[in-house]
Amino acid sequence: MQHTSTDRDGVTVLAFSGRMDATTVAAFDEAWRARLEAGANRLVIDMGGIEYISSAGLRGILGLLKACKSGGVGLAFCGIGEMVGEVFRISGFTGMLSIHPTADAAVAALA
Amino acid sequence: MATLSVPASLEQLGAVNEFIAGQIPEGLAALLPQVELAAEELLVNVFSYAYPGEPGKAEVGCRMVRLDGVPFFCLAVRDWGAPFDPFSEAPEPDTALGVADRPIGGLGVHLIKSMVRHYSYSYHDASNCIELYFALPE
Repeated sequence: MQHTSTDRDGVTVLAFSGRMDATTVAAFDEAWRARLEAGANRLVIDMGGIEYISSAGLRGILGLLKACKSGGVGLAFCGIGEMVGEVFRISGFTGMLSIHPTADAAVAALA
Repeated sequence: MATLSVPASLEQLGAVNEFIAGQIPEGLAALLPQVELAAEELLVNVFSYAYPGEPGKAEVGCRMVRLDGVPFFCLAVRDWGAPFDPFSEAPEPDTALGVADRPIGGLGVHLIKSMVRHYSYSYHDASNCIELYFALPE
């Protein structure tokens, strides 16, 4: 799994690509933890390049949700593909997340 | 049935995915993400818990089958650990809980149950045998 981090209007946009599974979720966790430790207080997770997610990936997402909730960090998601959307729906994650069609919309939602 | 035997180790997931991709019949590629997901969920459990403190192995098999005349893609996963039926022993998660109340983990078996039409568990020849039956895409 790979990621890029960009700053847009004070919002940190973390864009991920690849597979989010038991062997790669640690890289996801490291990426968002590093941004929060660097002081990011508004975060967009762009999953447009994620083609696959398992329950190990969901564990990473839930860890991020809990950290943002307890730290008062604004969090929004975008780029949810078919497979990821299905797994989110089955797991009841859709209702816990602020999901937007594009990174622009997600950034605007946190402005 | 085509089978692949792997050491019980997380690094084997890539090899398992390659094997599954090679077994999915042409025209059924839409099944691949669900089958890979089910295999990962089962194997991560096996690799993590089936062989505490000792090396072990797992076997993955794929085949096309007909049940009552209806075709299915079948994924079979086998391990030689202590008897464990994930379908009856894994607690049903509450997927309506909010962020604060959600326990971390416990969603793997729920995902599998949601994606397959039938599933079976049996213990025989000193092994746990799980079979998952995926309905073919329309």
